[in-house]
Amino acid sequence: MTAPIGHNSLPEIEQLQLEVSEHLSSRHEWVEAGAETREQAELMNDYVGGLRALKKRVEDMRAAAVDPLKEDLKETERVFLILASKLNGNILVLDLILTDFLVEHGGNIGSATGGARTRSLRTYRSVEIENALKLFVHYRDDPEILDALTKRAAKDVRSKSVDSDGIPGIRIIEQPLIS
Amino acid sequence: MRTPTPYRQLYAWHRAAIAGDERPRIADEPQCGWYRIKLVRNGPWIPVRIWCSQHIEAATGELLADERIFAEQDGITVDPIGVWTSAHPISRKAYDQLVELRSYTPAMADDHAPVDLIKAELRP
Repeated sequence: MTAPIGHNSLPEIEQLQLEVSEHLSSRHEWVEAGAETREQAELMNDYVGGLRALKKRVEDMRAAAVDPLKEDLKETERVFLILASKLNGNILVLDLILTDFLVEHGGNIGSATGGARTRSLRTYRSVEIENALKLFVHYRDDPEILDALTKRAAKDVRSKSVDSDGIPGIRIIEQPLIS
Repeated sequence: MRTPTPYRQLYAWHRAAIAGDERPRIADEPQCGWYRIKLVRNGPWIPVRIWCSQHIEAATGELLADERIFAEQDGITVDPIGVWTSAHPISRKAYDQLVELRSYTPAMADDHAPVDLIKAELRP
């Protein structure tokens, strides 16, 4: 009989450890083989799909095991953390190989078995500030920026003896508040 | 004298599709080639082959009977028109690899169930 959620029995965790260990036993072979052809990349994608499915199982079991009354909670957490970190490390390494393949060959990577999701490259855009003043002028009326500035100034006003001359562009509001 | 349709003509649609130029499909005109199909979401790929049967007189090269289109799905004869519209074209090499992969991957055995990638025991 399966144990109810929230009461993972030790054999269940041991079973999970065994599955992770079995699945990871071929990890060096995958890294060594690499992904030269689309067929190799598709098969690797399926293997990574298995790692991801295992990681999800680890996370689900970990969430179900959160029971503060359990004495062995810390030990259980540690086991889950180790398993998740082992899986994550291998997913990252193999995802790098698959990314290299996509950069070189383009298109996307399907699944050799049919079970894994198709992988493709997406462009991640980020920003580096070159001229802070110009940037600020551009966003001067943005509510998020104004909110951030208000919080920043309030922090200085509360923690230091700063008046409105010390921070230009603000009016300090003082109101009685019971403490 | 009737002459058989040349191979280059029979496989022209498939060859173009593999090269990235998939032309519109006509539902009742299945095209010879190698394909893969899925019956359920995240289910295993199933190899599909469509070919033309040509009964040819060896000495003269004459076509002795009408050409007929056949299809097999994982080695089982199926209706070519039924399978053709939902089949994805793949190279012959990919088809052979799929047949091989299915032979040693129990997780792909059930055509109607999602592939359990944890139990697939894949090797590079």
